[in-house]
Formats: sequence, structure tokens, C-alpha cells
Amino acid sequence: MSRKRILVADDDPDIVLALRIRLEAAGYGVMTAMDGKQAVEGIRSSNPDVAILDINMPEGNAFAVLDALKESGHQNLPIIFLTADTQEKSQVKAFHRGIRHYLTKPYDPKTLLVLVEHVLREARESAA
Amino acid sequence: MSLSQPAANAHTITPSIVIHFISVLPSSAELKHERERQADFLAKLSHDLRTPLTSIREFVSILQDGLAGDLTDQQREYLAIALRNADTLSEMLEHLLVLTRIEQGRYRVFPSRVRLQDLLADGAFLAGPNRMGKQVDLRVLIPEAVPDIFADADRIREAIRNILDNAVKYSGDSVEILVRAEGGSGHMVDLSVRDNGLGMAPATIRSLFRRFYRGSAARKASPRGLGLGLAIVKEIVARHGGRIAVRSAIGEGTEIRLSLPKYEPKGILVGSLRSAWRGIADGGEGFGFVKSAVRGWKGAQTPSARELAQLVRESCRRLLGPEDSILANGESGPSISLLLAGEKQAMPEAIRRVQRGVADGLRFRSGIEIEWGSEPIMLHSEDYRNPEQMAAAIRCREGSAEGLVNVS
Repeated sequence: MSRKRILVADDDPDIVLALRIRLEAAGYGVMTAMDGKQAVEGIRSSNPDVAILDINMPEGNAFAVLDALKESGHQNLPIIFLTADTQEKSQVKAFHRGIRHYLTKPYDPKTLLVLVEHVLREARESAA
Repeated sequence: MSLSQPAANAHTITPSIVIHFISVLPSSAELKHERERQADFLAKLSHDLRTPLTSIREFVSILQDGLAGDLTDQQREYLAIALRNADTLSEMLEHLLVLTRIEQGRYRVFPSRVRLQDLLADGAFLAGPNRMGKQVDLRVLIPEAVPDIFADADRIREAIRNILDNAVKYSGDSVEILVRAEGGSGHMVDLSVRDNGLGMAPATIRSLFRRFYRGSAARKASPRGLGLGLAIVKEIVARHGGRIAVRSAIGEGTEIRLSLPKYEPKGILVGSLRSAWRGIADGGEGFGFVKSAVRGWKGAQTPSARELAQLVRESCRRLLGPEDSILANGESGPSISLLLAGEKQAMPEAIRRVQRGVADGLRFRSGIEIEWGSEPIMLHSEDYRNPEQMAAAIRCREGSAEGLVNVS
């Protein structure tokens, strides 16, 4: 089975590095982006299997990324929001935009890995 | 000289400065603005603190997991200390934020039917308590016969997690914890957490749920902590209409027992309809579905709450055909209530999130639409003179003609 690829977008380079180490150790291929624009470009050019997005990023927050992905027909890409934004209004907004997986920082790495696995399984089942 | 009469030689003073006394009390709009400003500030502060905390936790954890090479035992021990302190900091931050939400009236509970076996079966949740390097034997005993509770599952998890954290914190190196539920008497279900920890003196028990209270033994056992965990538990239980009891003695461990309301759909319906009936009696124009239900009332006098509930239930069955219904009250103004028919066994996590976040029937409905498709749902608004609300209600009806049966 080919290695699943994950795009990680966060404007904090430390978080990006930590996620890269953790996800690569779990056997995933990891692409990174430091802002919303890079995230959209990365997804359009590389078609990852999952995207993990921070909400507050320069050059387009996660909601702007969702808008751009819809425009380019990538609206079915499984997405996990991973954010320090714990406000209920942000969670509700994300939910209304169809985001079902909203993890808050500081996150438990084991939970994140289980979630990624779950999201990939869901995507596999819905494609079958 | 009389003080009430001016002296004969008194001068008429023409003031060169006029001082206006103005009210220094903020208006309600100013108060609202101030509260919003505080909330925004706290949200930003929380965000800014969480981000570096995440990096600290994650890199320590990466080292601990050996992802950057092998470690000596001493290095492993020191990293465990760093991680434990990062967790404590994280917990303090979380507790302060919860307290702030409580103070601002933004900490609400949105109960639904909760099966305790499901609530406590979540392995990640039970692994959650900060184990502080101790040997923890955690057992859960929830007999199948224990009734479901009517509660906000996330909030109850938060309460149990706080109690578990304390049980571990204030125990020796080998901790035994038993979480169990019993049917309890009457309308409540008892959920208890018992540990074999240090136990408490009566004076400590009396102050246990006070904010920022930490007994001297607690400070000695664990120097860090804000003393907010159990105060938050108290708030959570109070918001469910529940009770807390504590049994403890020095050296004999502690048992904290939460009594939470059983899930009793009939009782919920009756309780909520009382206020609905008052709305009609006071000449309110809303509550159309209640009005339509009582049209068939043949009694000479005003129906009792029980009779009214029966009428509405019959009306709902005619319209929707479910065996059971829940009436959930919205909180936003103008307040919107909604009637959910054909209630699911357990409300999905996502729905509860929406419910908690907005307490607004229209948005809640839209959340349900996303999750369940065209689940039958009845909405009624107390304020259909408000054109904005009406427009939203109509949009809502058009969006789901099959599911929505009545907008008053």
C-alpha cells in the first residue's frame, strides 16, 4: 500500500516541525505550509490524502483555504482543524463549514494519530 | 446666623467653572461592550499561551518517545518532570478560562440523553487524568440497569476528569480509583469516584468547593494548582440541577458522589410546557404549536401542565409519529425553542457542539440537517414580529419542507 500523504499548515514553524516528526515517525509522507496561500497551492499541486490546518494563518485563514479548495474542486479532501482557538463560535463556524474534526492545542499526539487513521479509513470506505 | 438664609453681606457668585455630575455607572451597552472586550482579550491570551505550550509538550513528548534517539534513564526522568509541569500549566490555563466563562455567563450546559456506559467507556477520557508518574489502578463499574442521565456529556466528562485529577494528585504512589454509578432514588442517578488517597479533615471538606481554596495538606502534597478544579465541578453539577456529596477521612481516602438527573422525557416536556402555557395565558402570540395542540381541549378550565403535556404529545404524534419527544429551550433572544422528534439514542457529538455554541434553534436545526439530513423538527419562535427572525424561519422552512412541520 502506498504511503499516505498529509499536508500540515501552521504559521508556527515549531508546531510544523513537531507534526512532521510525529507523522513521519508514524509512516506518513508530510508536506508543510506556513500560511493559507501555501496550503492551497500545496493541496492543489500534490493532492494529499488529509490536510491538518491551523485556523489563524497569514495569507488566508483556514476558512479562506476551504473557500479556495471548493473553487478548485477539492472540497472532498478530509480536513482536520488543529488550532489554539477554543472559542465556541469558531467551533460552530467550522462545523457549519462541514469540518467534523476540530482538535485544540495543546493536543495529545496519540489522539491526533488515531484521528488521522480514522479520517483516512472513513475516506477509504466512502470511496469504496 | 441661620444656615438656611444667606448672610446679608453674601456675594452672588457667578461660577467660572461649572461642574457637571455625570453618571459614572456604565450603561448596559457599555457593560456588554466591556464583556465582549474581555472575552476577546481572553480568547487571544488563551491562543497565545496555548501555542508555545503545545510546542513544549510536543517536543518533550517526541524526545520521550525516542523519536530523536535513545535516552538515559536520568534524561527520561527529567523529561517526565518537564512534561508534568507543562500539563499542570495547561490545566491551570484551562481552569482559568472556564472560570472566566462562568463569570461572564457564557458557561452553559445543553443536556441530552446520555448513557453512562458510553460516557465512561471512552478509553482516551479515562487515560486523561494527569498520572504524575504514579501507578494508577482505575476501575469503572456501571451496571447495565443504571438509567440514562439527562446531561451535557462534555461537561460531565470535564467534572469527572477534574475529580480524577484530584484523586491522583492527592494520593500516594499507588492509586486505586473506583468510578461507579447507581440508580439512586427518585429522579437522580448517583455517579461516584472513590480513591484510596490521603483523605481530608472535616474543615477541608467544608471549604472544598470554594474557588481558589487549597487545604494545607493539599498544598503539601502538590504545591502547584489553583484550587479551581472542584469549584468547576460544583458549577457543572449545579447547572444540571444535581447535588454533590463528599465522604472522606484522613488516611482513608475520599469519595465524591454526584447526583445527576435521570433521563425522563415526560418530565422534561411537562416542565418546559409550563412556561409555554404561561406565554399563551399572558397574551403572547408565540407558541403556535401549543395553541394548535390545545384547540382540541374540551375541559371547562385551563388544562393542567400534565394535561397540556398530554395534548401536545398527542399533537406531535399526529404530526410526526414519534414515540418520544424532547423540548429543548434556546437561550438567545428572541428565544427560540425547538422540538426534536424521533430522538436518537445518543445525540452525536457534533450536534451537542452546535447546541452548546449557539443555543439558537435555527442554527441548531442547520447543524441537524448537516448531520442527519431531513430529520423531522419543529421550530417555534416567541418573537415572530421580528422580521429578521421570521425571514430566517421562512428560509429554514423552505430549506427543509419535508422535515419542518410548523413555524409559529
